[in-house]
Amino acid sequence: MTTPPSEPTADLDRLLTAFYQSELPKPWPRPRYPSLAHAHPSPAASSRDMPRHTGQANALSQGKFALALSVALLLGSCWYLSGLPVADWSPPAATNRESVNPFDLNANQRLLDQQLQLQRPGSQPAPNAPALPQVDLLNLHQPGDTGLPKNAPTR
Amino acid sequence: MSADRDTGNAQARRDEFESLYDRHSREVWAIAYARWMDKDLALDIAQEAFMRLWKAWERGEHILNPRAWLMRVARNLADDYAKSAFRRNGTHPPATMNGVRAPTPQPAELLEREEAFARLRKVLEQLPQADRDILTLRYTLDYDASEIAKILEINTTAVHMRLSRARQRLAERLAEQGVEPPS
Repeated sequence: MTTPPSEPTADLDRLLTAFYQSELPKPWPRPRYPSLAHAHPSPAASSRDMPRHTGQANALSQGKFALALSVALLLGSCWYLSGLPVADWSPPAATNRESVNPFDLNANQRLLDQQLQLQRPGSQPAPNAPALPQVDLLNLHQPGDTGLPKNAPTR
Repeated sequence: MSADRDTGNAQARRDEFESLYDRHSREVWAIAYARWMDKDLALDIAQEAFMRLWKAWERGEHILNPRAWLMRVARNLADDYAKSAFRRNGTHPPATMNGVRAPTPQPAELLEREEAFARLRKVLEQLPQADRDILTLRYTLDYDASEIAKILEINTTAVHMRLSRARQRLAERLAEQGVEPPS
């Protein structure tokens, strides 16, 4: 046999009832539904029947507002920039570079060497540097020119 | 016609759901509460269990015994609480809220009651889970042994025995701590 508790039963009952009743949520909330669309709420079931997630709703609306503001700023910036006068752009002035036959590898190499030498700090163009030949790109091909060296044996 | 029938079915389903909620949501809450002794967490678990029932219905699942199904889901949710997303979704374990006090001063008798409840809570937390299950159902919902037996799926004699032992253990521990029932 178990020994009876030292505390009176009624007191323990009262204590437990008071404790558990104080823990039970009041008022008892309405059920939550996964979504309003699936819940088919009756006209009598107003928003008070649904769970209130005001914090989440506020965060969502704030996020939407921030997104809309960002898009508006982006579009406004594009519109503003498109209205600005565009500075006249012209290609850099043509330099008085020597025209070189693009197929003349030796002439191209010399030109490259000269440019590299000019780019070095403190370098001056060599006074006895041979003048690069002027090549007329439009009249590269002369009548009777076979493109072969002049002293090449002919058949 | 088809739309009307669908609407009618949806309304019937909603009515049945709300009826189930009215009848059993407190039981589901009590089962979850007995596990963690946290009323807000228990409410979250109860709501989640019912939401899963609704989703199961939406998937076309036929649940023969919704009450037993809800209890099982609530137990699983309560057991999974420690490793679930509940902790990240704003609910707090009991230990987090133990030190929280109301900002406004309370009358002396209320403070005394709160202190007695805090000690009782501590003792209840030390009791075996089975004891807490029975005590919670008995004193939260005022259920008799046969109702408790149905929910816990044990026989009525076992309920009587467990309840008696739980009360005895509780009374002994309360006496050790000098807790007096509130007047």
